[in-house]
Amino acid sequence: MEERLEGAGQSKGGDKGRSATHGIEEYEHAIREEGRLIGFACSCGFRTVTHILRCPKCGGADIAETTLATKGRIISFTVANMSSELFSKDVPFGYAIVEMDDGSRISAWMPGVKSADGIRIGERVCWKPSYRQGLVIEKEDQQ
Amino acid sequence: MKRAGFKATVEEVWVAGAAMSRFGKMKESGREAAAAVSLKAIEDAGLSPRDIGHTFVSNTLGIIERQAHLGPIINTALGVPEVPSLTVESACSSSSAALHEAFVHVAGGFIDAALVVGAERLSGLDTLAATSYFAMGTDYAFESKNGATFPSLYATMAAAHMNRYGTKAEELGAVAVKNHANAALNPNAHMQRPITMETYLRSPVISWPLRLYDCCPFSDGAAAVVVVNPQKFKGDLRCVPAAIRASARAGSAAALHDRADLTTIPSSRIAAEKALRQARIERSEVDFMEVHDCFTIAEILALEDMGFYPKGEAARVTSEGETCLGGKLPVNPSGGLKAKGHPVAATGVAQVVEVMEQFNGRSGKREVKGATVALTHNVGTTGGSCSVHVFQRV
Repeated sequence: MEERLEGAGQSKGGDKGRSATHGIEEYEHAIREEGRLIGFACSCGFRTVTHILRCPKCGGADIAETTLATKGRIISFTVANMSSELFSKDVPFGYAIVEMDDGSRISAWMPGVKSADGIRIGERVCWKPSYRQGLVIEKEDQQ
Repeated sequence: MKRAGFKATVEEVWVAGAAMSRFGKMKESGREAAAAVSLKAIEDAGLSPRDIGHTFVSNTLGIIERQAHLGPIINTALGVPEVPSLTVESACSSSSAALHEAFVHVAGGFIDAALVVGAERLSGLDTLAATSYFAMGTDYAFESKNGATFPSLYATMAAAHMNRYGTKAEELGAVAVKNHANAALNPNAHMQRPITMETYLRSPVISWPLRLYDCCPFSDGAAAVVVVNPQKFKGDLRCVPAAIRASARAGSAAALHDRADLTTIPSSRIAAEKALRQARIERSEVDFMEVHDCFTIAEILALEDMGFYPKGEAARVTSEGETCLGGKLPVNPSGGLKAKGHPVAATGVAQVVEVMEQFNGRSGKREVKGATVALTHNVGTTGGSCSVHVFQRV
């Protein structure tokens, strides 16, 4: 589901790549209203959910919009007993950095996780489209 | 064609004066504290405000006090409203970034003396509000909106470090115990009492695996230094200066999930490599360091990323006492952010105040005897920005 950005292939030397075609508002609409996790993929292999115009790994402009994988494994995590105002009614909750099966990475939260005993590095998780704010993940075996 | 007024690049740049407020809760506003430490630093150098060619000011969360554009306010208070000023924002590394700007201006010959001042007043905020303001320094759309706070981001780095290297809670606790012990010897520190390992281990978990005593406090405070071209002020200077042997900065991907490895902060590694190359010194020549320990894990990462210890070794050597006062390489003799306190924009320049206190024999019982070379390391957010400076006693 990758869509090359116009001019992206001519980037070598001239850096003629074009600005990314989805913005943060469209990303938020996609995760909330369309059930799609969208991001960007560089021809060097780097993939991310973060809004970028050039690749933070190789600096290249050969960036494509892409739909990211929705399943992956936890790279690291915490269980937050304190939060910002955005999540003050949700503590405690899990917060994890996840490597998706396509190699992209996301930051996400786990509403159901109340202690560090209930989660581990390497654990399989999946993104769950949700009415709640941000990216919500849950353990794959809960699906 | 040569531009008029452009001077030749200068060889030596010195920190010639320094001052800080007591960190903790302060009654006065950020602007008052900033003006007061600025005048003290200028007087410490033996100079007058009229000698200052440019003011570099950091006040990262000044909007809390409904005050932006602090530079002209400080310069007006100092009786030199015509002096140009610039606000430098780089999250927790703001005032070390301001110091870098001052260094560049003086080294480039644009001005002969610069004032660098950082100030922050956070005590008007409760913990929830302060955590929310701090969270604005993350990648807000892709980290904070998914639940991140600073404790939780550093907690994910701590968990990854523990998972890969077997780092233990007690080893993180050794950082806290050491830095509280040092702060107890520093009358300007926020935290004035030592803690035991038992106290550390009993403290509540804030963001697993980080406990309360893994975290720096929210502090108010202000700190200032004066940076000069010594050729212009020979005979005027009053205290022992610190020559800036290196002033280097670097960056990393803003969001943690965009970094290949959570157990390292790339900007720390790059800035330290640049700084050591600039200074032409070996790591073994550094007598002490003030490093960014907003959380205990941050001190461990700093020691490893800057190449002072191999990855996975810094926690062990810390628990063996190697980085204590009197150890092989004292780290954070001031008490660090962890216990001296962390008034965001004052922190970077306060590290340099400690260097001046040490070089001038003003550090009392926390003195690193015979120290002539010091390194400061100041991180913005989770390493999106990093400054490393190297100083030599003149």
